[in-house]
Amino acid sequence: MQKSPLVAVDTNFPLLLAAGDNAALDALDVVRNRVRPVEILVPPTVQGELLHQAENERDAVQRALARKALLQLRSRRRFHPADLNSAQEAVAREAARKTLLAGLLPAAEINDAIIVAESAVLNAILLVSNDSHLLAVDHRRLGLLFRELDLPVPLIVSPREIAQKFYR
Amino acid sequence: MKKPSIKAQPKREAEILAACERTRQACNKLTDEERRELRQRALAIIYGHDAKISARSR
Repeated sequence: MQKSPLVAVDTNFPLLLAAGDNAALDALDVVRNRVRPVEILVPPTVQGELLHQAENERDAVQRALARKALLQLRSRRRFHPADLNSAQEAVAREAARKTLLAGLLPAAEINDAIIVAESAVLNAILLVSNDSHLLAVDHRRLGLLFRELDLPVPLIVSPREIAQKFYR
Repeated sequence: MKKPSIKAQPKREAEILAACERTRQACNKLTDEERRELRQRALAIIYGHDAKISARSR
């Protein structure tokens, strides 16, 4: 049986969806219609960030939105919260470390690097994100780096880019 | 939550991205153990809610 293509999402995407953002809703529509049968994954670090924001964000409106986004992941969006085994976790950690060491992301952006690495370990073809650091990553260099670890490199795209390029 | 008007969206988007940036900066400092604990609790909430919805629809 043919495996479903996998698409990973960054923390901002479920939040934008929960807020009814048009570009995010259009992007989800495009992904669901153009990449069939798609499975949408929520990397472990993204799950943690959503809960962290739901509990610790200083803005109460944003805390409520994060809780809503977390609760909607499966029930409304049919996203799959991904888990990694210990071997996958170790590979993701190594890939993130090398990404930072190579200067592909600013050294302090540990979670950015882990989210890209987790998406790669999960074999995602796309990582949907609105994060400015992630969108600025040199995809070619990241590909070369991940190849050394025998990992695929997901294409990092913003919801707006997906909607504009493919919503025809 | 009511869907925001198109005019209000860029402001709302900026607020969401700013909150994500604050969260990311805070989470960058977490230890491996803290990250694991956060993920486990997140999964419990996600699947707990899912089970509640399924039970209600039966």
